[in-house]
Amino acid sequence: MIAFQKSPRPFRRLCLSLSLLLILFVAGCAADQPGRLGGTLILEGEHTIAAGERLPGALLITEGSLLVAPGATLAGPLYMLSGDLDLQGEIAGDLNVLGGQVSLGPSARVAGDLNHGGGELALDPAATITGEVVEGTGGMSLPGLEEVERSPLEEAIRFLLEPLLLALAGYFLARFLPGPLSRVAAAAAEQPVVAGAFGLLVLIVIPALLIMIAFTMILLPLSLLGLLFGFFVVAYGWIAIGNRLGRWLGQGLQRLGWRERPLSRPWATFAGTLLLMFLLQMLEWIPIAGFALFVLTVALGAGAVLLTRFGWRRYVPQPVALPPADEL
Amino acid sequence: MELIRYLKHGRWTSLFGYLLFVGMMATGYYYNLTFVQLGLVDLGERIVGLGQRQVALNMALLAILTCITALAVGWTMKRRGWSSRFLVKLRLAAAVVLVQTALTVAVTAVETETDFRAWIIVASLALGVGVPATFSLTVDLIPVRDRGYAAALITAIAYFVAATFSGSWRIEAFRTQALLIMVPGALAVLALAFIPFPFLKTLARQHERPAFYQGRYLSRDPQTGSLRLRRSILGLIVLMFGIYFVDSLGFLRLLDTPVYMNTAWQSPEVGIRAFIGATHVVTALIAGVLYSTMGERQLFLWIFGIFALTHFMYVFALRFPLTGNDAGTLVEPMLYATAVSLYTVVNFAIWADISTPRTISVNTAVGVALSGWTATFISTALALQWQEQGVSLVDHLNLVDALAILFFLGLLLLIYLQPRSETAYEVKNR
Repeated sequence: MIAFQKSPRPFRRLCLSLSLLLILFVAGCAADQPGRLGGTLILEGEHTIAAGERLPGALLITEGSLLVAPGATLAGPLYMLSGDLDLQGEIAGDLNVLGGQVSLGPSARVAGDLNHGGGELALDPAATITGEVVEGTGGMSLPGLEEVERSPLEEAIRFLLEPLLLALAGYFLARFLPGPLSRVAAAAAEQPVVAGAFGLLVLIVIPALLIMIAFTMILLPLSLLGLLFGFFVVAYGWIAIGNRLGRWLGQGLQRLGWRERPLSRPWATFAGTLLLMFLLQMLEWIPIAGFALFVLTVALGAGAVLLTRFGWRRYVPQPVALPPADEL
Repeated sequence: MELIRYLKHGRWTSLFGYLLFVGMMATGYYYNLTFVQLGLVDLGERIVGLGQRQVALNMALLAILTCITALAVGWTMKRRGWSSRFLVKLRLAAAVVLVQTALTVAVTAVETETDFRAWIIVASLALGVGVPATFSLTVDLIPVRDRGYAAALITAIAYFVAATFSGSWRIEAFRTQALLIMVPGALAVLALAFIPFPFLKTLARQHERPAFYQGRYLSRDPQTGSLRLRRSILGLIVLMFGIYFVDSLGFLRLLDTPVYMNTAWQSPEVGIRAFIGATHVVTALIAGVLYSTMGERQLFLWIFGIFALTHFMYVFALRFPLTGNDAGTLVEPMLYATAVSLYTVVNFAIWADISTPRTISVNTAVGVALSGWTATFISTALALQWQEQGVSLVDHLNLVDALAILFFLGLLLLIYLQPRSETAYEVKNR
């Protein structure tokens, strides 16, 4: 049993909240009322936007069919997950096709891009696409996540700047929140197997959950928040590992006689984080093993952060009452 | 970890017992996963020429007979005191291995439905004896502190070999693979069971030591002094039976769906099979560590949560298939492998942890028979009924997903309603 010093009430509250959230979620899934919810989500049924009509905002089609008559306009963007779309009118934004059957007639006009990631697309040669036509799921990638080609100078700056920024964050964290940071560092250093295992499980499951949430479109902001939160957890974990690494570094320097006193906690964290980040960046050069080590480091840090609940509780690796170890 | 301590301090007898148990259970589980669960379907349909429904009914017969035999043998073992007698259990296990090896050799002689049914009846009797006999050896060979780790090793080995080397789901291939392991294994186990090696006496007395005797979920009543099962674990175990049922119900349909075959054990690409095998290994080891260090409620929350997510993703992938993204299709089998590894580890460790040497045979029989065999029996029957009613794939998986989410909700509710028992740390710092 993970032993925490506080009462079990928060865990109970978490369970209750999760239950309510799931009940709402399941209830939402069970809703089979045909029609549009909020004017932008088509769940089922047959719909038509007649000539001269304009539908404001984004539109998400998860089932059913929609006919956009010639002369009708959708403000866009339109996300097509399943069902049928017969476009004879105009979409002022992007058309994103992830599934279902989409037909663009001769009078159809898409002012933005046509991103075709899945489903069937029948395009009349007379249909107008003002933007680009992107085939494959590359068209659905989130803005800012594309691979960016960097010049050697930019690469060098990144190599130096990213570790430096994180090390600085580590310095301030160690200076102003030394307790939580040292609790996370202690969990990572003293229980690496437990923290690593827990972190790995989180790394396997949570990204899949976030992707799943993103596909609902409605919960996309939550998914992005989760992604940011994930980055924060990983960065915090690295700083905590850096904290311990810096401490060992300081002790090593002292033993070698290069320093009289150990490094102060903020400076130890700064130096340790900087060293760790450089090491992690260098791991990219080693194929497979480098990646595996990188993942393990991420898992170790993230696991320690989550087990200590961001350092606010000490992780005590004492499970439920166990018999003594075997007499040897 | 006790395994490392045994190694460090040269406790070779205990170490041998530990590895013997892991080897026996991993082989047995591998045999069950491949030869029994997958090979028999091929034997029935391709060699004997039975229809899908007939084979499923025979598999259900196997499940129910195994369940009844296991319960009867487990109860008899407890009543006669064999449950705490190491040599008796080892001899029973050796006899089972011998019968299973003979059955594996004889499988090529099965040609008619009568042969097939007779083969299944003998196999279910052997399995029924094997479940309580082999699982009961946990209390003799694996110290309580290491039960999660030993379960992790068993799961990792069995699934890795089964996933990586099972490209062809033909009875002939499974037979060759199984015999390669079983013939030397059976000889070794027979020798151990019937030749009086002196070190066996040490192994036979291990269960009396405090490090082995009392399962982690038992606590001593301060007034009567007797050992009692913690109530909080009971509800979780009942819910776990549900997860077995849901898993089996979903797996039966996924197994027949061509779109999922390329990303499962029967994929023609060895890379995909190795990926699934490696996922099983990593997640089984994670489960071993978490079983040993995490509270059962958190552990079960993870298992149920991952199951619900996995089935949800299968339904989602079916409703909104993406093109041009082959890597994305591996997410579902990865999550599936994770969920299966987690609960398999728990299933290997938990029965010994709710038992003493006296009660392990019957507890194991009830647990494994109900979770493994009855769940399979009911889910097979239900899957058949749905198929006959023309339930579509997406509706089938929708129902499975709804059940998985329902079990997750049930667990959350159970956790909310049940008072949490104090950890050892809290007791010490009260």
